[in-house]
Amino acid sequence: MQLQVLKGLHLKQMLLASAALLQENKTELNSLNVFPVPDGDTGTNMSLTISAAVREVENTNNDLSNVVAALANGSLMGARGNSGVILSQLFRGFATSMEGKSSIKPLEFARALEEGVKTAYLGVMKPVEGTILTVAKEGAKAAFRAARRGEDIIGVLQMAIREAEETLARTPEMLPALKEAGVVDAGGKGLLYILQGALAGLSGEKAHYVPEPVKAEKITAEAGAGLAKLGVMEYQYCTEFIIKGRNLNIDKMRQGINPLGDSIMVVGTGEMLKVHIHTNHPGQVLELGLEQGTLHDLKIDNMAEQHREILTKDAKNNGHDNSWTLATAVTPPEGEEGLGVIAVAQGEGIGNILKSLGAEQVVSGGQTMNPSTQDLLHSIENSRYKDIILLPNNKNIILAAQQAQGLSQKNVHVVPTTSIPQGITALLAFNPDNSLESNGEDMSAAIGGVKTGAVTYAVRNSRFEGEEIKEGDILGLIEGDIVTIGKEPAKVVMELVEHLVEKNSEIVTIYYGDAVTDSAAQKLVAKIQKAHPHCDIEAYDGGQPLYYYLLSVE
Amino acid sequence: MSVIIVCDSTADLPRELIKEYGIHIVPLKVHFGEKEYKDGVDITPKEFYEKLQASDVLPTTSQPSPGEFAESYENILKMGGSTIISIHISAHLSGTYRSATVAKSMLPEADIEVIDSKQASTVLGLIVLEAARAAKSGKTKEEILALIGEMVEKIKVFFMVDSLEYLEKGGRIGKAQAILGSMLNIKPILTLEEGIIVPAAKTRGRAKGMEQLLLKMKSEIGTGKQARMAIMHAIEYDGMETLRDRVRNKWQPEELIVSDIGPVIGTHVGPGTIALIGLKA
Repeated sequence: MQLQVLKGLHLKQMLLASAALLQENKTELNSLNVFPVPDGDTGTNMSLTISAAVREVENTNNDLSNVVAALANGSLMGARGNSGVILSQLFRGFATSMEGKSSIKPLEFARALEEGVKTAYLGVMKPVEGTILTVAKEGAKAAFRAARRGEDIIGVLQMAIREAEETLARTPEMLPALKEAGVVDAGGKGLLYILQGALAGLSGEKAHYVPEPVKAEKITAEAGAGLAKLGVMEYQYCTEFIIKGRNLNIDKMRQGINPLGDSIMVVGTGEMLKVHIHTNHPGQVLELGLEQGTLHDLKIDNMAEQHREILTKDAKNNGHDNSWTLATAVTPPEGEEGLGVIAVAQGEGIGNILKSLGAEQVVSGGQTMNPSTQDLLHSIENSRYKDIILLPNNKNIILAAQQAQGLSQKNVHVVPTTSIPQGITALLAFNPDNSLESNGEDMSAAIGGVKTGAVTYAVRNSRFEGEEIKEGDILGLIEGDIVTIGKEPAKVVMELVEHLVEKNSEIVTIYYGDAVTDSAAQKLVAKIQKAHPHCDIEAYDGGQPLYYYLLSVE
Repeated sequence: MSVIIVCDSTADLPRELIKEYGIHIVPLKVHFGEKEYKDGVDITPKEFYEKLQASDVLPTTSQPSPGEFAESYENILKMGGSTIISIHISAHLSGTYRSATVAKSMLPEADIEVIDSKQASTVLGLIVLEAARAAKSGKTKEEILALIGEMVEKIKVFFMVDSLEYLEKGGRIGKAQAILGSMLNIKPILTLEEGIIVPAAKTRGRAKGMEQLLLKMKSEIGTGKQARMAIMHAIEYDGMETLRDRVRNKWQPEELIVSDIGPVIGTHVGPGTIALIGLKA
């Protein structure tokens, strides 16, 4: 089989097969985490991200430019975790280079892969080699070489896969942490599955893809405008008008405008039709309307801008003549003056503490279930304020938070908190009377002043600095790094406290999880107090899953 | 012609300074249940905090009556004073200023100026002290009033309370209400703006709170040498000593007044409160 031209339908089949293969191997990818802690599962995150893309793609026609736009939109909004965000950037770059095309040749396909890599590198502040980025980069380079040699689409994809496989095998050489854990990069492997799935899809293999059970959220108007800002929105102008005349033909109108956009609605009777469409060619849509009758109540919104340009026919003064007036209506900024803080957290107790310190909203998510870009964007849109500070409270959510910042029409500042105690410290520095910028600075500066620990369990056998870790072992982490391994959570806490408490330390705070009883926590407090009589020891019922204890020393 | 300075007992000035400059003080009152004490007359700060810790009921406070002010004013006039400048605690925090204003209206012939300092405790005390020094050196009423106006604008206080409980129970919490509900054990840094208590920072732990007091003050008065600063505290001796050393080191003030937060202010801020006062350039 030879394939010299790739069309929208091909891409759809490829994506579906990719999603299926990724889903099949989700658990394996999850187990490739460097630290064997229940944290930021790469397989789950990538699978959920591509599922969001599949949902959008399935709802679009087979036109290539529509398919790639849906791919970019869906994955951008559905992106979860760092690997998901990088994947969405790969898709976005890939899509941008195919914009407006109905089919592409092998060289264009290879260029699109390279464009994806370029976009993904730009989207990450500090690109790290030995990750999904490197696998994508080497794969795309090989694809380009193959295309130049005259390979067809299948040949190009095969070469990309071969190179990606080899690069993946080398990732432990590039990242010592991978080598020590004895794994290859999980994100890179996920990408390999996507490429392999794509090839299978092209070859006509039937995909066994089961839609991921996540709430399908429609992309809202505001998010749509945000996507347009990034240059990936399919159609920019929301066009609405009424046609008046005799013997108006609904079907003719509908068929006429169908190739021009989506969200099409044509309703009415023989004497009056109401037309709604999202299009890039409002002029052509209007012309089609004029063929049938006169136009009334025209409204054309540029969805990419806050300033809506509304074309209105001045019916009062001009009657039926064809003069138009351009009225510029400024949309009032969404949300009232003021500053809202949105924090990501798991556990009822922790949520309550964050709210008591002034967080307007707490988005559920954390170690295992990372919120998607769409989830974060949704909270931003729902805020009553127009300036927003976002506290991701987890290193695997920072990128999605920054993506949401880029997509939102509101002024958003991401304070890069990597733990709940950091989020709490940042909130202490929050002053709603100050500006967004100065709060951002103060809060970012404050998070350095607290040292944080966490106690959880190993999800698989592993090795760490020469030490054997068995599944179920209790792990003590400081700032995300394993520092101690034990069998009992309380003992591990004591060891962490010894690492963290210094001569001038004043407060030790413990947030105990849902697996810890109040009395166990109180016993621990007494023990720490005895060991460190000069410190105040405070314990709060955090209610977080998976992590027995989170602690901070300041 | 002599100008006499009157203030209320919330000025929390050390006794020796009050004596030295002949400042007339009209006391507010503290009530423990049925028992009434005149602030600084019947009860010293030390006795007050001992009582506070032993008592089941929280004390309440009350302002001097207009009659008590009028009596003081009349005594001063009888003793030969020609002009009275009467400076008081923020009208947002106490009805004392109102009582003094009513007393002035009861004596229409007398030359009395009643001033709302928009401040409290030793912050008010420093303003009073400045006015008394000027009066002693023979400055005119107008000169002294101008000086007071200047002081009111320049003086700045930051204080840390051990908990917001006392401010809340006494109904003086002002805008610090916003940080009341926090579940963590927060040490709030507060200040006075236009006579109202306003939160300036939130910290965890007294050591960080102390740092914040110094930082906030630095952002107001800068790092240069200072002529006058003050520290006041509610039986917080360790904190006072630490703060005093840090302040001496940092600003080398020519005069550093250290005073106790008296019974009336103590009722509303609670033991453990510590404050730093400085003057903006």
